[in-house]
Amino acid sequence: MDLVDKYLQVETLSVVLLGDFNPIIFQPTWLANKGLIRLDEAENANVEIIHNEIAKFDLGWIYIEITKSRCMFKTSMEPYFKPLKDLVSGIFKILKETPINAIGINHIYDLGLQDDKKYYKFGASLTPLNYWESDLTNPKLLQLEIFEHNQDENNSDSRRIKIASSDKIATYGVIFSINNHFTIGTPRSRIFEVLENLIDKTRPESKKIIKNIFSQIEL
Amino acid sequence: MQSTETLDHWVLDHEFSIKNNHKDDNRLIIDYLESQIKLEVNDPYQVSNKTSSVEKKNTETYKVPKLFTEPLPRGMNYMTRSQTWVGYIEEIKNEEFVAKLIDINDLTTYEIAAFDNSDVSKGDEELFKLGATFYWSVTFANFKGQRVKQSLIRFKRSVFIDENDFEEIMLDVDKLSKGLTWD
Repeated sequence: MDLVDKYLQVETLSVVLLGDFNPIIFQPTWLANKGLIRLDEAENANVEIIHNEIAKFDLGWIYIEITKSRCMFKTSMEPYFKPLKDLVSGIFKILKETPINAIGINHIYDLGLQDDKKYYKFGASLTPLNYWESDLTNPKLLQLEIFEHNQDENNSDSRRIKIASSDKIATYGVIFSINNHFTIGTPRSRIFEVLENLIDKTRPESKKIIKNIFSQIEL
Repeated sequence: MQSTETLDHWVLDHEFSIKNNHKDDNRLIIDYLESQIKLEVNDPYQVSNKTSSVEKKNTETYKVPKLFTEPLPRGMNYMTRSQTWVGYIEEIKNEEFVAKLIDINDLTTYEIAAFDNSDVSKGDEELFKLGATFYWSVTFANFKGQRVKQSLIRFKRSVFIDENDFEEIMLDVDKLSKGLTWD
């Protein structure tokens, strides 16, 4: 078991697309009619809202949220990472005229650090809390964000890594949220290159980032 | 520029999850408090044994029963530590089907395995045919804190390409082949 697996509790994949969308199209029955999900999944969907401005529903294995400028597909069920990819890709193969400007592949890791000492050491190692100790009593790190702008066209245009307290793990939980941002220009086939090939590349890269951090902190 | 990040805010989600997941618990707490208040209303005065005097109770603090120890998050159903294979159906028999399996973490080798036809979900039956692609995962599922080992089969759902798409692909292939040089 590697260092990440030792602490990993929940892994989430979310794909976010920016563009010009018509939320009311995105209904569970439409997805089932197009053969993109099972009919029983559409029938049992937990629909929060379907409106001209916004559509939100949960199919049990995936949560979908669509606004006029943004689509999000999210799952915390690892066996469904590939079906998520197939679903998003399938939708935009059908909606050929829908303009898409950018895609974000987000790998989110909720890690349980087991005890308060490890939890404190983790935050204190990422940022030197002793800088604050003359003015603050018992300072703690709440959130950290790192940004990288890529020049290499085979990678994402940018990566943004957020580290914060986890909402999924009530005690000593931290979350690593790694956003791989791809700008989509022409050709449109870039959308499917990102969705079908690059998710498989960004996932191990994201895990490697966390592994490297953990190996340096030595909890 | 808009961000392509997942826009969950952990604090808001946390609040939201408490409201959603603890509706029943909150109801129980309210019922309990109401029952305590009714008791007080029925007996607003008490006699002190020590002084034999009657005095009005001056207590407005009620102990709330501890119904849960930690707030449970919205995303409490999750699956992790999975091993996934991509399967291609090679043979369908009366009671089982045979498939070639490729481990998604090691694409260099494959295995042949047989599965019961009954392993196919009702909703996937239309896709169950020779040559079909499916995902087979062995995983640990967490449902409201209970860990369960599961084996899942889900068929791949693809969108068929039309004539125009096919022509576009062939044009791309032509462009790519022009760029190829042979030593």
